[in-house]
Amino acid sequence: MTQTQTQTRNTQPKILFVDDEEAILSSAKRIFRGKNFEIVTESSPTAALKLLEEQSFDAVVSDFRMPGMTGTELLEQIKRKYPHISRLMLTGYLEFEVIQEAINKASVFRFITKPWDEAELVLGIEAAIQHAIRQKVNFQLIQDIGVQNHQLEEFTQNLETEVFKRTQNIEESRLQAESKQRMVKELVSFVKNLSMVASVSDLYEAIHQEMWRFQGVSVLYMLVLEGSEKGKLIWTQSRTLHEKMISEIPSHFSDLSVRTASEKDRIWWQTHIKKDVMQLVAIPIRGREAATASKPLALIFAEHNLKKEKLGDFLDRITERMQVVSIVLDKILLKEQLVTATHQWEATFSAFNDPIAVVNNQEGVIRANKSFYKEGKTQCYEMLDGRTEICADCPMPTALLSMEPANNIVRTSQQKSFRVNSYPVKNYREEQDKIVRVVNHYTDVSRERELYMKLVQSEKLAAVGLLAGNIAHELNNPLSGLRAMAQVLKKELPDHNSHYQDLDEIEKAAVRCQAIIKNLLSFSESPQDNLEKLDLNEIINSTIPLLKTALRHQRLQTYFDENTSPINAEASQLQQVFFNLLNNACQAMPQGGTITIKTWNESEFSCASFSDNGPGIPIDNQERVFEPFFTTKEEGVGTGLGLSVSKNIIEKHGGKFILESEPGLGTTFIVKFPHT
Amino acid sequence: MKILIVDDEVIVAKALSRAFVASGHEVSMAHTGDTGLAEWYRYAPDVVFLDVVMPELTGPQVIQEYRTKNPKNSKKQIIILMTAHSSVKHRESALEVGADDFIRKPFDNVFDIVKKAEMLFKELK
Repeated sequence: MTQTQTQTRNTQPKILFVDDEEAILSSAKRIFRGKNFEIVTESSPTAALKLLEEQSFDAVVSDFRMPGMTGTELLEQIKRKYPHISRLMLTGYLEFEVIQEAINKASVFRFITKPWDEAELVLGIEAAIQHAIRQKVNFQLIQDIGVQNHQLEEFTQNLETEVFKRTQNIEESRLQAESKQRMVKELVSFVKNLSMVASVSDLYEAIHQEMWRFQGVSVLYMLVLEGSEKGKLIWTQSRTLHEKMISEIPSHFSDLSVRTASEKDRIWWQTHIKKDVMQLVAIPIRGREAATASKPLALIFAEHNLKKEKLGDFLDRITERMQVVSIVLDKILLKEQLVTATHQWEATFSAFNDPIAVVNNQEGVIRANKSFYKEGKTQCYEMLDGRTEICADCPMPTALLSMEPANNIVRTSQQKSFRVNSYPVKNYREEQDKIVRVVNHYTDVSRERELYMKLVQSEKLAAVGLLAGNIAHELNNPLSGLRAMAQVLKKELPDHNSHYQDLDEIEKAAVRCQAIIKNLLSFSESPQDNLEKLDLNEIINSTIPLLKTALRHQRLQTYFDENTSPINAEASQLQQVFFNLLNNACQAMPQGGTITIKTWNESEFSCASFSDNGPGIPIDNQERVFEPFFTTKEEGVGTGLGLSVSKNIIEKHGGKFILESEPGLGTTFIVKFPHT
Repeated sequence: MKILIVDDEVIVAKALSRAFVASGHEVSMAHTGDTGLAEWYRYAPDVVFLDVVMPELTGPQVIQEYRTKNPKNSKKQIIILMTAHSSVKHRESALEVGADDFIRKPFDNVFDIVKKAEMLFKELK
């Protein structure tokens, strides 16, 4: 419609005149000729309507009374079809009803009465055309405004939608960012918690705390599959940690994927937890190290009532965290292995009864086993022997110098002998070249050494015995002659002859030789032949007078227990022993001292002790005094046989011979003979 | 008394000899079993001292030899073994081999032996 109405303002206004009277039509034509209007006339309303369909007009002037259709009806139709065309009515008489109807029905712009005044008609039509043009312009404006309004409206609406969309996007991304930030924060705090974890139980606690954020996870179980706590099952109920050991771990737990628990899992579960479990997620923790990555180290079961859409979130979250958990669990297990290995080493070290110490050349003892370690000491010689400096025969310096194992026998002040094996340990870090360690292994060889010394002694004794057997008799003969000759010559000499003293010396020398031989012979003679039942006190008492001269400068104290049990012995041999002991005591105290003899009874032995308060026997000599031919006495004073002979005699009687000597305080010999 | 001393250790024999001579007795000496046996026949001593261990014949062998060759010898004499050997420790073991007594060597005082011999000889008479 709008398109047909568009026409240029420059075009002449076009007026349609409709009247059934030709005279009127031609009159109108005449009036408007030469005027600025184009006049089209039509005699029938129907034709007029047809014409309106073909051409456009600015105004229509219609007669009221016409055949077929009234002017009101025509104008009404025109109003309806072409509202912008101004409508005028020609009427011969002014009837009120006609005007009212025409105004109401056809919105007639103006009525022109017939016969018209020409000027009035022109003015009327001009006004109608002006009105039509205004109407048209208004309509156009209204139409334009309408379009613009519509466009504006559309635009506004689009804008709002766009803004809404944008706002929504912004909000969404803000939420996303926040959630991401939160998740990162949570992950960081989880990792922080994990860094404090030192045990499997700790790890469980950390994971448990993390999973607890998820509403819907009810119980978390952790089953340890590797390490020393293999088979341990941990879970909490009402914040109390529970633990249980399960010896049998099924092989189907080798699956490494996070999954909803399988039927197998579930059955296993029900058997071991004795509890029906509906929804379970199995989360294996695998190791990170190549050695542990092939199978799970532990298995986490989360019991839950999460909905499907939440479950995915939960699994994502777990999977994200499992990598860190793996590292931590790996660390725990490795540390455990390390601790176990260390313990094993310590246990191995401690299992040795032999003392073992790791010593370095700067700090002293670094490690030592129980047999060696002494609280508060740092150096090996302090621990071994309470010394203030390195032991005399320590092989360590040699080992350190040569970097080869070395060994030696070290004797302690407690009369113990240790074979010390010193093994140098090469450093695995080259920059530590200056620090060198050795492992010292101490073997107590006191007993072996004692046996060895005894063996040496008995070998010596055997040799002496053999010597005695073969040579003693050969020597005895000439000695007897020598002595006898001296005696005879002494008697033959006149009194106060100057040779008398010399002969006496010869006889004394011969006597001493005989004494030596007698001692030697005792090694080969068995005392068993002349055993008698004797009283120990009596034998001692009968020996004392033989030393009258030697004892002159000594104070002798005797404490005899009269109830000592009798012993089986050869009196002369025991006398020899006691003579030797008392004689030694006297010789130890040339300036005089106190000699104490005590006797007492023990459950199986009759005992006697001979003590002096002389200078004592140096520690190094204490073992050697029993060796044949060992003597510290001046040449000619001692034979070095006294104590070894005594020992031999005592042992042949089944007795014991004990030396107790403290340098500077004196010496005590104890003899013990078995009861009869 | 006539004393025969048989000992391969010359000094022993000589010392004994001088002790007996000093006590007023007559002494003959031999230093082997053989010569001792011969001297025994020839000298016919009252007291015979025999060392046990000697080269050739031992003391007990000398006694045995003498008894075998002179079974009818009626003359009484004292035979004393001198021993450092552990095999003759008692008077009984000396008697077994035909001696009257024994002296253990080494002896402490040679004059005790003289006294002992005198005493035994007195008893024999």
